[in-house]
Amino acid sequence: MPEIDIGAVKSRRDMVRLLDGYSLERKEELDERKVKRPLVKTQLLEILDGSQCRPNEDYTETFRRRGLHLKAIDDDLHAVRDPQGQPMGFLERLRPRIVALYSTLDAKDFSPRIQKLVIGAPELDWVWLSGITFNVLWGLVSKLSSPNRFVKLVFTHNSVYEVDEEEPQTEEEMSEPQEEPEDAPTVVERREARFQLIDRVEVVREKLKTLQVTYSPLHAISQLRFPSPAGRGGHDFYANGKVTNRSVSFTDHRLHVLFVTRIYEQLLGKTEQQAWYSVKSSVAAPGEFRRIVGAPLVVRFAEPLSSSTFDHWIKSTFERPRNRFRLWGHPIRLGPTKVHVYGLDRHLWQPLFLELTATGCVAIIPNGTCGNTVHRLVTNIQRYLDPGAIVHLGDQRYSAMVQEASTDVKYELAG
Amino acid sequence: MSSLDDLASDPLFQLNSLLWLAQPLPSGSDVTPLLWQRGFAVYALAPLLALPPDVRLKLQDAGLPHQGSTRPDVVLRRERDRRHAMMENKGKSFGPKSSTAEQARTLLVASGPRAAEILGLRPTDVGRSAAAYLVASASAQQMRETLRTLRKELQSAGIESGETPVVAIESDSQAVYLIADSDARDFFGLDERLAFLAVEAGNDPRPLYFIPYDPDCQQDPEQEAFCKRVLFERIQATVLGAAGRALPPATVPFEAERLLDDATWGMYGVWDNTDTRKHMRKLTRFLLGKLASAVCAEVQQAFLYIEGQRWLLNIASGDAQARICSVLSRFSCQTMEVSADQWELFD
Repeated sequence: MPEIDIGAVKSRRDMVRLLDGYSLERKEELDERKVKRPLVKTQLLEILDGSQCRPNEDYTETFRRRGLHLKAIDDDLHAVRDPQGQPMGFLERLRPRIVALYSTLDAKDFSPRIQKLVIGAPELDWVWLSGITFNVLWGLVSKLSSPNRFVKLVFTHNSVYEVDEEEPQTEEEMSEPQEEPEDAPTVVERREARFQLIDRVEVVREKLKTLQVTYSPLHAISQLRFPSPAGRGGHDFYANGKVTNRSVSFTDHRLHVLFVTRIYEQLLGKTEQQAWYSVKSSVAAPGEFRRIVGAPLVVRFAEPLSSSTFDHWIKSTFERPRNRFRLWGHPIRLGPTKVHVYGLDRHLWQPLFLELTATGCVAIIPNGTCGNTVHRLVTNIQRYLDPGAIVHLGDQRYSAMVQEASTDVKYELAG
Repeated sequence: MSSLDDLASDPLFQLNSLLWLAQPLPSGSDVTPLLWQRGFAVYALAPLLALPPDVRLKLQDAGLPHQGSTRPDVVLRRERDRRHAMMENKGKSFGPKSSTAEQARTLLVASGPRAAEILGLRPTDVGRSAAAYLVASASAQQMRETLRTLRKELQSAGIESGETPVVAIESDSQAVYLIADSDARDFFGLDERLAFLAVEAGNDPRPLYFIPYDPDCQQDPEQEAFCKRVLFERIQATVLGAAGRALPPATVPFEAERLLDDATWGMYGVWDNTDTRKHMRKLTRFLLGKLASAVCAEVQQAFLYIEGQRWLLNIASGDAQARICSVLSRFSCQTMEVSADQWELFD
């Protein structure tokens, strides 16, 4: 990690002072448009215990098993070095299920390391912020920020299944649009939308909803900047839980990270509470009266998929080991545009039953399967299939659940 | 794809449709949860309901063949008026002299005025109660007649029974419908004919199966093969999931009964029929044997049978884990073979 001596950090206060100072320097460079060193960034990760969806008590073991060296600063904060002993940053357990890795590594170095770490560890997952979740977060940004502040939103939708092509090799390729090689044998035509919008909060507040009705990819928000109350700039949140600090203050950065983490944690809890299917014994007659509890995830596409897009989606997802949805199963064909899959989330290795059709998707989430599976599914559906998809858990709108999850979450302003 | 008529009379399709009819779902879904919309939710799956001794004595004295206890497929409950429906799915109707009528008499009595005590509840916890039958529409008329006869017999013996609504399933090219007789319209608040499953052209309308398999159900071979495949793939997913989550070096134990309980959401545990349970264990043993052979061909001695319906999966290293998961992923429960494509554990 460039010019940051993590070995000298003996306390939480030391870390905050170090990263605060570093952030201030970078902001000055940003304002002069001459950034000399990488910005402070945070990667939010969910930790699981590898068998059930519950917090892992000794979460540091997960990282140590992957060769990282952790040195305790306090109970919930560790300095992290890579297997070669080079500094990576600081790991903080923000909530029982969510950790943050703060780093000053360059994004080109940081993201592949995180990818390698997560892909190889079923006990870790990215924090998945779907377009629907970002829409709710945008609502909060518009409430929290002065109407004259500038906000930045990035929208990403890529109808990759309109054509049959190989799945990407890396998570980076999944998240970044790929430039088509000049010597590409054929010109592939499909819908692809990725653009950013930077404007004053009041303008976006006034226009976005109307634009979303007219053009559905505007539902697929994949990046959102929370303007910093501590000065110019802000905190860029990405769909995979990465957050870049473009403000003067690390303290303010951490507060925003914590704010979104609390919302996400509540959302996970609500998802699992609502969705987990199980057979429960009645209290009146234990062991005798079993009832099914839970609610399915129901996704309705705004526009039905063509049969060829549907075929490419199924083939790509279940016949190729590298697939964006990270699912496993043997699809049972029930017609030209309908399959059932009694399969697995292939990242967390947890069961999932799916009905996939040209008009939508129904998922049964058995008890114990992590709520992250739901949020990854929704994120990917919006990104690759239908940005305007309507999602329910049982009869409750997913967006209403995110809204509920964000209610009463503490937001502390940096002093 | 199954013909819609075959599907309507398949007990597993009926059972799973019934469960979906009582699930919370948004409007516009392919399944319209007609019963949930009317306040009914699943109260119990296949609960054991035993008749009180005095009622059994009365039945015996009246010479009415019956069972001492029965397990309706599902009990539905509506909270607001504590209405209970003991639901039974039947592929075909039956006559009053048939052996199935013995079970029906028990169910009719269990759903009568003594329903609360039979369900283990206080009298005030049960409002109206019924023994409701879900059948294919071709069987509905005979079903109604049989139930009418059985009720009369019980009445003549001075034994009270519950209401007996009959709900039929029929389909056309647009949808699958519930057809409610007058008792069902009154008890469930249904209209006479309501669509509950959308039929997309060329697609089989069946929903995802909560309960994939029941060896006691009489199914035609095509339906049985479908259900067996679902059961096997659920077991395969459980084994693969456990292998993928393991932290090597690790030994992962599997027990046939536990796997069956997981794959059937606890239904295996409530099947009373010893032969049925034995049959299910045999099926599981067969599948695990095939999986174990496939794994051992790739990683020697990695998946071994231990006495007492138990298997051990030995995952010695990360490399062994990747190879084991690759084999388990590529194994087809249809062909019982491993496909040739090479898969990697971690992308």
